[in-house]
Amino acid sequence: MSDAGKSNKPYALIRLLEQENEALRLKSARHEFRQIARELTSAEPFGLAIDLPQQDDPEDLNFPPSADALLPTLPVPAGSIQPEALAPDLPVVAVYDDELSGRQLAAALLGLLKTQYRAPFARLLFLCSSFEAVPFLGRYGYAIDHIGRSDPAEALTRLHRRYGVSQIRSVGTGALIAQINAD
Amino acid sequence: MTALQPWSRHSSDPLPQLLADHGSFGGSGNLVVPSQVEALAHWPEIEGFQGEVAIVLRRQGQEDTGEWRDVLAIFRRLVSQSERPIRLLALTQAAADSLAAELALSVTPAEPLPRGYRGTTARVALSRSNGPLQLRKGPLGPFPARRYNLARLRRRAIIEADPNDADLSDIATFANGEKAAQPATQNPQPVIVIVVPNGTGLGHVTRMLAVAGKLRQSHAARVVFWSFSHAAGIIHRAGFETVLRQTAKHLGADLDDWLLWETEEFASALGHLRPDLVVQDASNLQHFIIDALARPQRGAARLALIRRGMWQKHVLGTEALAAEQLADLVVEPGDLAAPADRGVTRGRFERTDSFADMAVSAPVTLTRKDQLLPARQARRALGLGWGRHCLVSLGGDELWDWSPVLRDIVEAAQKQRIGLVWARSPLSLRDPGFAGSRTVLGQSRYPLAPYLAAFDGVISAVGYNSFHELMQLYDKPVLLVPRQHSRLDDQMARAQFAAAQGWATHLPEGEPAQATISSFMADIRQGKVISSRPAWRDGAAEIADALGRLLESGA
Repeated sequence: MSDAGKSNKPYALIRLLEQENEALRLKSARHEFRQIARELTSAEPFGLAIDLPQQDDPEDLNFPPSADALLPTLPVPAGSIQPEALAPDLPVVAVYDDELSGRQLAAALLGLLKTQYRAPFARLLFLCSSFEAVPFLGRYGYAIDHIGRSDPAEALTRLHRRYGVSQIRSVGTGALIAQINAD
Repeated sequence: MTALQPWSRHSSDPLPQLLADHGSFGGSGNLVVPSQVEALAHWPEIEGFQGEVAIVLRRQGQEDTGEWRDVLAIFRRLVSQSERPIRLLALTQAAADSLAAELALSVTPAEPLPRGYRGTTARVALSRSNGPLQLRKGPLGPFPARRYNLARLRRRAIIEADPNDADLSDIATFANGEKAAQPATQNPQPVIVIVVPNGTGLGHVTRMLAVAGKLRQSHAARVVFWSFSHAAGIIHRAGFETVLRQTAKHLGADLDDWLLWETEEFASALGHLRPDLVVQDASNLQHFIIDALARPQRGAARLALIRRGMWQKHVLGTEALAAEQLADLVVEPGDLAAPADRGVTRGRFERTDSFADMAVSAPVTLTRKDQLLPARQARRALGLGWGRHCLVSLGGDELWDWSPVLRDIVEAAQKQRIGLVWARSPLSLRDPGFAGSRTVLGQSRYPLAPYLAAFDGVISAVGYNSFHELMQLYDKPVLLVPRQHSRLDDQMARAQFAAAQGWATHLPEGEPAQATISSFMADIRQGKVISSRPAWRDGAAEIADALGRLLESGA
């Protein structure tokens, strides 16, 4: 074997590993998306059988946004259905759950995540009025913010500073709820 | 409320912490400036402030005499030229006399704080002789003072200061307060913030739900959870206010960036809630809690760490053990297998030379003995039919591949005609690996312990909560399947200890499992009962009482 052949061998191996890695990432993302679809189309999506003594619903807690202008922007994860890193110029969009629950919320999420899986259009942060979908969204690697029953538009300033969220949209209709003024 | 300006928020000066604890600077329209140096640095803001302004003048501290006099001279000129009324205060009568003489202006002593410590002879000494402010508690230390809030410390110890530092001596005198001073109005409903991490399962959440329930019931406390766990919905359903948080790992964030945010937002929550106590259930106190609590205007909340034992013997835990020097109280939830504890925290609850008070409780379970359902009722509720049933509860599957054991379990169960019920974590919907078997039912009820009587045997991982539920609330055969992982407790030691006591059988490490599992299934088939297990004790109530005593131990 020639010297040139010898020196190319490790690179060929690396290339092969890279290709296999890419194939695995694709497979893993596909598996995650199928799992999501299975969960969201099940009879009881997000269903938790909790047997704790009945208590009054506690108050929602929301605190005023920080006045510290020097805090860095935190990243918003892509979620486990994306086989590769999302383009850095994608906008960060907070998706409000419209106070939906159960199968209605599941259907709306499935519609959104299908689109996101096929052609990612944003980094998604889920703005939840209840804790119902939190284990589900957390399991698939999404960022979540719980705002309870407060007006989602009021969360925009804080979410913009913390995550760089530029707009809040409805999960069901995609309608714009609030956005940062570019001026 | 004292209106301290944001500039004192990150200051290394401990006085703003004490001023924020002072009830007499009332009125949100007031501005209290904690020193003449701060006043000079922010004079335009002081001049432009619309409400009442008080400036606390300080005697000489670490600066040299010339520098201290120069600052006072400039300050005197500014005050004399200003047309706005300014109240000049000092921390003690002696300081007021001395500063009035130096400035030839009227300086009055600030109204003293009410005495903070109660029934203690503990002493904390402050010193700046080596540079940054440090503190010692008896022979312990020095510790960097920036990690403590003086408003908290003054409730647990008598504060002393280096006698050569006049300013620090004034701060210590002011911190100790006076018996005759008007005590602050006590909050009839203590506010307690509980921080729960995102562990590998529901262990932290379950333990703290048990304690929180007791705090609510026996101490009329308002309990708020700061939850990194995605089980926030369970906490909320239990009736507790819940703030959902995201870990740096979940976000993929740089740890330092994330810490800045967590500290800022936790401090904001503390300012809003003004808690009397912050409790964390973890192996270590997280930095954001310490840093947020040290900020002024964040109340004088006590700090307690709930730290279970049975650490893996190779885990050094150097930083985690150092957390004992930051908390007021460290409580170890008792472990039935404590005699087999090989970890670094073994026996630490007996220490008397730690900054924190140390305590140990009885084992904690969320389910009480009186909440157990009779067998027939439990079976009906779970929809189990006739025949023998074995619960398989092996915990989250993130850290372990159960497949070799599962195969043996399914085969042995089929041989004995025993139905298997797979306990799924409410946080996980992943396929357990034997979902294809017709004999397997899924169950994701929380908590599952009240239904234990429905089962003729249980195969379980050996995490803290499952182990103590099974050993104290169940009398049928149990097969313990330990998981050894550095992020988990020493499950093998716990399992071996239980087996040695005759409470359960276990799968020994590295040995074939088939024979043990077959023998266990035969025990189930025969309807074996284990009567030697320990009686249930209410560890949650003991921890809640220890926290209650901490709340009552100072003003």
